[in-house]
Amino acid sequence: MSELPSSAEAALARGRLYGVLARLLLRGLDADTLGQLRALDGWLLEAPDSAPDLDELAAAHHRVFQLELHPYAGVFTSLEARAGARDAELLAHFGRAGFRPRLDDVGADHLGVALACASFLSAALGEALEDGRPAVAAQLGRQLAALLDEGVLAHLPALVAAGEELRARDGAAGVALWVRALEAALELAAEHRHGLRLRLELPPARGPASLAGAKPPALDAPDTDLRAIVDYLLCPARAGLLLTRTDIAGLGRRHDLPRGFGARATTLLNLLRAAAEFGALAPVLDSLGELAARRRLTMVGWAERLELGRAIAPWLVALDTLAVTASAMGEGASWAEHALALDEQAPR
Amino acid sequence: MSASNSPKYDAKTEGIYPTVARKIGKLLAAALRLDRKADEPVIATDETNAGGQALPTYGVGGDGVDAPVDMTEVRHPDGRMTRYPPPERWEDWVEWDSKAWPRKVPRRYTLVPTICFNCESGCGLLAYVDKTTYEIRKFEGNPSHPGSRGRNCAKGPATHNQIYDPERILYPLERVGARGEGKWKRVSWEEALEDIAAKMRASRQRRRDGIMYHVGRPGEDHYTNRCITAWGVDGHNSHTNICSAGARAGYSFWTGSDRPSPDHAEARTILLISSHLETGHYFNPHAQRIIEGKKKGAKIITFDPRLSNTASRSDVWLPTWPGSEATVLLAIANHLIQRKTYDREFLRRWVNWAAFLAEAPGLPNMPELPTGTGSFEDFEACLASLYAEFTFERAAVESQVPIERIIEAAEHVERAGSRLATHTWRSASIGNLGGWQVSRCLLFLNVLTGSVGTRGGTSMNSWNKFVPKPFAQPPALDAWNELHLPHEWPLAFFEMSFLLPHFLAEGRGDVDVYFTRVYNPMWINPDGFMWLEALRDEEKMKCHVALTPTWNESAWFADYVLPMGHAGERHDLMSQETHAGQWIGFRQPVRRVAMERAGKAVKFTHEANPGEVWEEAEFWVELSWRMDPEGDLGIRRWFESPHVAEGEAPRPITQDEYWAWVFEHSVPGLPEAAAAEGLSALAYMRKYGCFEVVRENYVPYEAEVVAELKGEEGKPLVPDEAGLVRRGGEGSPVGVLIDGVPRVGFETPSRKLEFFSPTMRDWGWREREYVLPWTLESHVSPANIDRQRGEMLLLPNFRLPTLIHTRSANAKWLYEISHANPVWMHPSDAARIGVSRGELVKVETEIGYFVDKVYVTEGIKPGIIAMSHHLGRWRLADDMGGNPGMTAKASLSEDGEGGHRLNILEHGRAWSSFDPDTSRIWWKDVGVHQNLTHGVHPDPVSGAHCWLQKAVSVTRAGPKDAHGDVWVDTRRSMAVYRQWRELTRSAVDHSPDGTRRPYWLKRPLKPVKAAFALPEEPWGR
Repeated sequence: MSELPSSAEAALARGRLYGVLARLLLRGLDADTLGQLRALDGWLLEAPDSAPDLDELAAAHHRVFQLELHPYAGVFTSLEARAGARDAELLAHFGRAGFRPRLDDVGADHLGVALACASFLSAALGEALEDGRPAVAAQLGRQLAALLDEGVLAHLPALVAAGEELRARDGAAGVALWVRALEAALELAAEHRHGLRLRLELPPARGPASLAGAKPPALDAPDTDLRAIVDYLLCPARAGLLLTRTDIAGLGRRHDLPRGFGARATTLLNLLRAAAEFGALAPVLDSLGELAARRRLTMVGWAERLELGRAIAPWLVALDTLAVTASAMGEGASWAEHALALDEQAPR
Repeated sequence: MSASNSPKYDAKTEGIYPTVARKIGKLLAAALRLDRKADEPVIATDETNAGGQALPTYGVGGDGVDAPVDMTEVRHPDGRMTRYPPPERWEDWVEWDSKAWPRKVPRRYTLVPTICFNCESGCGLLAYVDKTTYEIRKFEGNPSHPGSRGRNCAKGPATHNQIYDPERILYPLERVGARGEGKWKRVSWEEALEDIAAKMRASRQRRRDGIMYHVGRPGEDHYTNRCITAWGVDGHNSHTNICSAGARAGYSFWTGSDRPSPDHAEARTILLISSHLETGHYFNPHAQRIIEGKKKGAKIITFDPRLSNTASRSDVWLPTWPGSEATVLLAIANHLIQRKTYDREFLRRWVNWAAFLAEAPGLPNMPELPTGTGSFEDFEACLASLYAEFTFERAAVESQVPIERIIEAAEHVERAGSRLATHTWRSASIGNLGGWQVSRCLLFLNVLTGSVGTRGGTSMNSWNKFVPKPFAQPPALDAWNELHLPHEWPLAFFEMSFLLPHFLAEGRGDVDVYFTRVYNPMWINPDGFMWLEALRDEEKMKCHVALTPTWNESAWFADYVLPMGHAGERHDLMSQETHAGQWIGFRQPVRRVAMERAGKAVKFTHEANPGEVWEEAEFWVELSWRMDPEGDLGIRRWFESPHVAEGEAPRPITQDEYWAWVFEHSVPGLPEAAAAEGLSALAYMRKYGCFEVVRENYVPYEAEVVAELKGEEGKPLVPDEAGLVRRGGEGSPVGVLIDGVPRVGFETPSRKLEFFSPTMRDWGWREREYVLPWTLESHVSPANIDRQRGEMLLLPNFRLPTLIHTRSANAKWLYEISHANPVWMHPSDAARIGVSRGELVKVETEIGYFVDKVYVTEGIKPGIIAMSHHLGRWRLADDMGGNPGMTAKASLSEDGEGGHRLNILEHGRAWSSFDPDTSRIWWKDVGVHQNLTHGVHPDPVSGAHCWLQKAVSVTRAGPKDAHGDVWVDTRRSMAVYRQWRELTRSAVDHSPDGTRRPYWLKRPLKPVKAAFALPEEPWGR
């Protein structure tokens, strides 16, 4: 590969690429980052020479990252599915790296912050290599690997899979750009992690441990109501996928069911309640199973392309469990009646 | 650095798909060509903000900007949580300037609570006033407000649009050309005050019925009414008979109170006649409590021929044919009666059944009744006999609703027991001839279930609304304005304001000074071209003063247009029966308050508001003072400051003085709550904007009178034969004996719930259908709409949650959400007529026609067309009289013989102004002014304008018809008016005692008893 630069330069270059991606995720596209993308041979841009509508892209950025895809490790890997739930772990990584970002308006477990830290560490690694300090470089390499494992690769495949589904439903140029940015981040991090594994003889990236203990709700339990099902489906660490607003809307439209408006939990609850009331629970759950199957296919594809089999394995297990659970829910009419009855009782 | 001394970091890509590895290799090479800017930190360190820039200090005056603040958290019953700045930080609150993003520019605000003015709910708002510029940045919810509890609908925050509307009227204007010509000059407040006050003084010296204050939504309690009372004229002209007269009458005949106050949050069954969940009268406060009730398991039943959002979220939707509602309600009542599942004990104690047994037999249409010995059991037998005809089968046929749904609704009502929350306000009660019986039949269900005033039941407004007394109350006026309540409508709720043009056309009188206040009679009332003719007539309408925050069609025909403030620009006191408690809210001019907090002196609110926009509270004081500068009319003394030292000249009272007295002396618990924080009562209200007077108030009618009379020595309670209790045996009753105990009871003459209405009987309505809760045939019953001939029923008055009558055509956010009012039509009707969605239809009414787009939907009953009533605003000039994005430019023409035409020259459009959003208006259709084509339908009992219209024909529009066209013949208008006037039973013929109106019935400003005497020369006699 004659085009590859030296290791120090490669580290510097990686740092810049991580930095570009971090800026894009945190702030969107502006004139500076647009110039950088053009200088990177039009990376991510569909038509590098044309002038994109920055306002449109900003609106799409807001929609994609604030309303649809939540690029926080905590959303994906914690059982409370909450942004910020992994802040402590990420801050520990940052602290070990000497990376002290101002986090006034973004949480530590935001993907963009992790990429910013990767940028910082890569630059430091480049300097260590340039200075001929292999021990420091190796230490920085291990820190980078750990950061990529926990802050990026643990959840980015599931995020990308949700993004690709979103792009398939909404072909807007802005949406496509931001999903390409996520895909690029996954490729860059996976390829980087793979290189680190080989050079530092590290184990391959592993999936998030939290997924191993996650269980679906017991359908025959007396307190399993529709909310319990909603909680399960909206927790990626349990269901294996991020169910976006667009996914929920798509399910509603496909089955002509009202979902109301508001938070995902509200609309999904409304949708399932309506499905139960109108006898459409089984087809809705079938569609949910199809959605899980598509996500599985997408993630398997990424696993093969990027040698991320072990990192993605827990997600696949969770998706398989979801398929089984959805099927069981669809078949259990008595369960639905029970869940509906519970749901109509006092609010929790 | 050479490759040889590098660690083993060369890319090895085994396992990675080769194209990925190659792509990244190329990228890495390209990345090395980036300039050094690419190496700048992505995220700033502590020295700069996230944008990499040093923190600016604009607007920041001290330390602690970044100090974390514990927010006030409100956990909603549905599990959501909202966070608000804590009140102790309201005077100095810092937020990042959102428009400066991604830079972090701190803005320092003072947060001033006020009360929303965009509907009748009186929700709390919190204005964020920039401490540097005194501009209002935004309005959010006030978490301290007991009614709205921090939440608002879209209309609350949109107050900001109205304040910064580029087209708003900023200065007093006086007409200089002919009325309606559109020529104005700017005048000072002083000039306007002097001229108008002189006209009022001259009128007051000649007569007591020459000044008329025509009010839309009052939006305040007691202040203006006190002013009018002080003028000594019968000058209050309500809008209620185009809004609520039907419901008010029905509730009043039962209870003496004229509004319901359902306790939705605690209900087991919620029965709504209308789209109340989404657009109800107290929309936001009620909606959140309906949701709470539903979350706790309450079932919702909705009557509505239209599939509203409320209907779609209901457990039982009854798409009743308009006018059949009372039949369905009585079928439910009959279900309870025949199964004896009603609350016997409640009926026995609180219903005037004894009067019924003694006085009802023999009245017209009353069947033979098993009155027996006059026992309660005999009354039960009478009930069973009377209502047996109201079967589910009959209800299903009349309402055209599947019988199972009616049965299901009845079962929900039965299961509710004492937790039945019911509500009707506009909808059927104001739609139909006899609509007042809808509220009467609805409350009958509460009476039967014993759910009157109970937890989860339905209270009356007077129990849940608190109106403080003013510091000095002028005596009741001794006058009666024949143009307000003429003898033909002795029972109306209230003044027959929508008939004013018809009365003037008949030669019944004239008006010296006519105030329209936040009211647009020409647009909102039916038969608007009659208003056009009246407003242009300078002989009969001698001076028209429009008090309005924004342009409207009526103001165009005024002599003075005086800009009055929006929610954050005025002082008002408000309370509403939003739930089973009592509260007061204080509307404040927020910029003024912010300036005063900063130590800036402000004498009049117009000094702090945009331009010279003023507020009525100060305006009335100054106007009244000039009306009686020497005090010889006895008016001035009611507006004098109570704090003038002896020997000093009197001076007008200030707002601070007025409200300080009210809050210190007239609101129980407020002074104590204020003292606990080391504040005066006024300072407390300025800080919080509201006060909870009573947390809960259930079954107040059960209170023993004895407890109220502690300290009333020498005035024993003396009951009469009917059980009514009076202090010392004299004066008005203060209670009623119930099982030997004197209890407060209700506000009816019997102080009981009047199932049988002696008032109706005594005032000429003696038939069973009027004296009891019963059905009356609507003017739009199936028998009166010949669908075979193409006639349809026009339902013209459904409401949208995002607009407020005509007043929101200055709120860009609201208009972006909803701006058109197409004709809803069922697909079967659309197929018959041959139109599809978006095509034009011509709807012909009794007096004219309009042309509008059609919206084909299964969400409306076949045979009915429906339109929202908010939209279709217009202006006559290109650059004045309305907002180009929210009004259409129109032309008016007439044939001189009563024919009037409105043509739309240009629909909505974008335009340039200081607000960049006005250039982004993307919609054109701003609706059609349908009300112009509605004939007036005054109900002979309640006086309500029965809004539902017979659409004589609905056809596909012809080639010459254009969207928005309206044509009306006012000769037909008068003919329709006379047809309905013929239905009345005049007090001249039926008054039992020579008075015009039962003295016990409410009036907004009740004159002295002597003024109730019938006129010596009644009009038309």
